[in-house]
Amino acid sequence: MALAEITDDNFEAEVIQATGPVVVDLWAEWCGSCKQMMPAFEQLAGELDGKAKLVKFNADENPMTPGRFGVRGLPTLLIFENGKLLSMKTGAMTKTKLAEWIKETAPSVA
Amino acid sequence: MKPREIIATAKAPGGVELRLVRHDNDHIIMIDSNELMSSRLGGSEEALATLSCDRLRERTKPHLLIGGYGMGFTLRAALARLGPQAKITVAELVPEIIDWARGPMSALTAGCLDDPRVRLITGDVTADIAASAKSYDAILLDVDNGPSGLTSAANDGLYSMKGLARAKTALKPGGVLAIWSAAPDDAFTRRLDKAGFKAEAVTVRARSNGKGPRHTIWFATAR
Repeated sequence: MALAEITDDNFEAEVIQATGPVVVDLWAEWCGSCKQMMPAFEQLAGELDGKAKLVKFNADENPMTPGRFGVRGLPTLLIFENGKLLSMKTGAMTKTKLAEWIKETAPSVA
Repeated sequence: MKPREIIATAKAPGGVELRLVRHDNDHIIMIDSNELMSSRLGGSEEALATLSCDRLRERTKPHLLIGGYGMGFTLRAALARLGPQAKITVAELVPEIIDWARGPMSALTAGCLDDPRVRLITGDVTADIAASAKSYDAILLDVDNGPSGLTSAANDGLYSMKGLARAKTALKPGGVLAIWSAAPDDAFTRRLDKAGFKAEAVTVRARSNGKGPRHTIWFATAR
């Protein structure tokens, strides 16, 4: 599933003002672990379609948002719901772990 | 004798438990009763950086990949040796190692993770090597205890023939693959040769004053 690419410019509209859970995957071209995790993230986006919005965010090209949330390493995943940051995790995850974490953090997804 | 105090634990992939232990003013990361690393012994990890940087003297904007972070001795030594145009990508598999570096060991860390030349990946360095082609002037590996490690069979992905071939692809022409090990390993020297590297095994001491146990570092360049 092709995911929406969020930028500093549309972060507010696409993530903060969105209704329901939004999972943001911060990645960069130079981050091999980010690329390794991407297929699992994309697959999960398809499975959770309608329950949660999963989006990608290139942290290299968009430095403002990572700074705002104190992101200090990649990959970093952020879960928002109704404009609030619910949880943030740094480090590559398997699809299973990712799904568990999203469902624990945003029970409406389960 | 001052007691050892466990101040944090973490699970490494594969289920191995890492324990962060404080002893007097030192920190030790342990697996079972084995000392994986200690803040008292950083000499050979520093040598991994300085001897690699010495081999890159003619490169004005070197890009290094360091895996893993450990206690940061290699990163700090590389930052001290390299100029402002250098770039260092650090890959650390265990997120808690980074939390410990920024938390209880922040005095030792001395802000090195926030240096503008550094970018941090919390993930397996194997993935970063596999995703790269002609990207790095040097790849510095201090993962586990060396080619015959303690913690993860997955490290075979780095030190096997396949792993070495991937590292060769990830290096720029003339780039250096540097590998730290707790022990010498002639079979690994032969494997590097078989994988198309010209390799040199250097013995270094664990303490920065030139004392302590002997460790091995291989410096390999593609033939």
